[in-house]
Amino acid sequence: MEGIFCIDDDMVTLMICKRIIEKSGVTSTIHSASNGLEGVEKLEDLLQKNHLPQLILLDLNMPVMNGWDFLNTIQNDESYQKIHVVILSSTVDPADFEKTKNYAMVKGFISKPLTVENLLDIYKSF
Amino acid sequence: MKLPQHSISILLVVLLVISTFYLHNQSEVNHLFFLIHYFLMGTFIFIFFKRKNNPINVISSPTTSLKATSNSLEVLWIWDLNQKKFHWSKNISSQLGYDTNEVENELKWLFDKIHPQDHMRFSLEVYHLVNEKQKDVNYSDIVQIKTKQNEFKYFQSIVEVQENEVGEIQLVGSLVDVSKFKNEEIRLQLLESVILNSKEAILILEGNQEQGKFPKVLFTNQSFEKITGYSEKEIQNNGLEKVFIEQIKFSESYQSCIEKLMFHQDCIVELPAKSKEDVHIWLQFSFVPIFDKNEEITHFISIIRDITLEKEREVEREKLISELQKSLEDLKQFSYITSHNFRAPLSNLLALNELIKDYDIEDASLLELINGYQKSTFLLNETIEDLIQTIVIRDAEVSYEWIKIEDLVNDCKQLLKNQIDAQTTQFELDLKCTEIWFHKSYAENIFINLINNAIKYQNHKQEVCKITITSEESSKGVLVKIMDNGIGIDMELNQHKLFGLYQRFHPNTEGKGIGLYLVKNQMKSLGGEISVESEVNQGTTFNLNFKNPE
Repeated sequence: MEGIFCIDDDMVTLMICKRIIEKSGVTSTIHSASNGLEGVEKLEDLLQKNHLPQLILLDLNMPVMNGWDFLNTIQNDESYQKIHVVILSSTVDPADFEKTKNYAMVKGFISKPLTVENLLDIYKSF
Repeated sequence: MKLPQHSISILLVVLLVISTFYLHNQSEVNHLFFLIHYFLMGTFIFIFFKRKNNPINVISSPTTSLKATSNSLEVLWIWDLNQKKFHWSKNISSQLGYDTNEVENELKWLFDKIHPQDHMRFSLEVYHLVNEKQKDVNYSDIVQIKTKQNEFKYFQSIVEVQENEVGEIQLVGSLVDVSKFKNEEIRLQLLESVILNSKEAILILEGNQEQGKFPKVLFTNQSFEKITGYSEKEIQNNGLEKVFIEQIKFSESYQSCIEKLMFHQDCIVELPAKSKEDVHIWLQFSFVPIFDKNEEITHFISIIRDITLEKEREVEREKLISELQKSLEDLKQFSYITSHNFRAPLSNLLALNELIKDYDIEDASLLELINGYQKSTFLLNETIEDLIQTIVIRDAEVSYEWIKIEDLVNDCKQLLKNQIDAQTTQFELDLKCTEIWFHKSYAENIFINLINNAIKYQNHKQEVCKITITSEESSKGVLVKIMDNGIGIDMELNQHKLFGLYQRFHPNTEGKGIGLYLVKNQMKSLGGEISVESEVNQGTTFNLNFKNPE
């Protein structure tokens, strides 16, 4: 398992994430998807290629399929149980923070923007 | 000419004595004398018994009769029409308080003592008797008479015209104090008027009842018919169940009320009902059991209120509250979405700012533009974050925990490490209490804001920026003081707006005037108190009073 999979509907955010990851030097393998559904499909693809990411940086508010539904889709799949998911969102709704407790895969919550320090802290916790 | 009755009697006695003496001295019996003698005797006996049985003659002598009644409860009076004199029985003093010698010899004296309500009626009736002089006709009435103690008492009065033993016409009256009965009667009338005129329906029900039914109704007042449309007879025949809608009879409150009455307990219940005209109404029933001396139930009293209007208002109020709650929820969601939508691009701007720093920009004017862009982005982010904090204060469900004051200060130092100049900033802690009972993120925000202010508004004329944090027990919990030796605040000018929104007191320093507003709100929202003492160029002290758990 290697690399980071960024799922966000904002292209600027995806670009920034890519730059920050590169700058941090934690990995050079970066995948991205623009919503939850695309994320599920890409994840299946990566699974088949045996290139599952170590970390998913997941936005919550996305069109087509939001972050919660993405988690609902993958959380019971044995193949993905070793992946760490960290929420990367701009939400201020306390209910969102509470909700993350229901997902064992979710290991953290980062309030945007992603910084090199955040990323290094996450990798330290693995 | 009419001879007085007592003169006839005396004449008869004299004649009887003469005839007896004559008969006694006669040797021969003269039948005619015998006859005359026995006729005289028979006449005397007849007159004697007639006097005994004639009520007029009860008062043979007013004074004698009046003396005889001196210990009785019945006060007697005689008005001598010829001599214009009043005779009163001695018990007038015990019953009315006047001595017999205080009574004036005028009928007016009695009339003046009669209550204005009864005065006209009484005097007219008595004058009528005086004028008509009709014997054996009486006037009976209940009148109020003023006693010597200036209070009115109720008396049963009987006045009649009588003839005395010498054939003179007298007005004879009797008075019996009936105040006790009359007052009781008035009290009962009042109680009755309450029941009859009450706007609430009042029912009297039997003390016993059939299983699963309300007790039988014995009495209903008029209001019951006004409220329900059912007459007393209809409800007596059909039972109280008649007023309820069928569905409610299976409800818990209906059944529980019947059960309580079975056990002779009080019961208050609000139930939907229907009037005789099939109009739906809400009634509040209050049942009270009444017991006798042996603690046996005798009956129930029930007061019924029409609460239809109140219920309708309650429904309207609940609807309004639910609409308001929905609006509030919508507003909350709107504020979350707006905040999110502001924060998302802003966080990108912040990240881009950081990434730009990796590039060497040689063009001075481009660098100036980028610096301006970075500064504005930073300020915009601060404003948005502060506004989001105010939303979070209102909405967040707070949880309390014991927080170490020293940890809070150390966290602040860490977070403000870029602002704190290690050479010139000095922290001093004197903590008699080590912990506060508060919501952690609020406590962190309060300490960060106040310590940040102390650094931001330090007095550069001083060698060091000294921040002293003390804690001690207070009547409510723990008093924490955050003191600095900074430039201070002019309290005379700013005392009232210190904790207001968008208030700034030092134009030459950065700040949007939202920090102290947040601090006060966070303190107040958890029952804490905050006050400030400050002197220009001397420093500022914030007193934070944290409540202990109850």
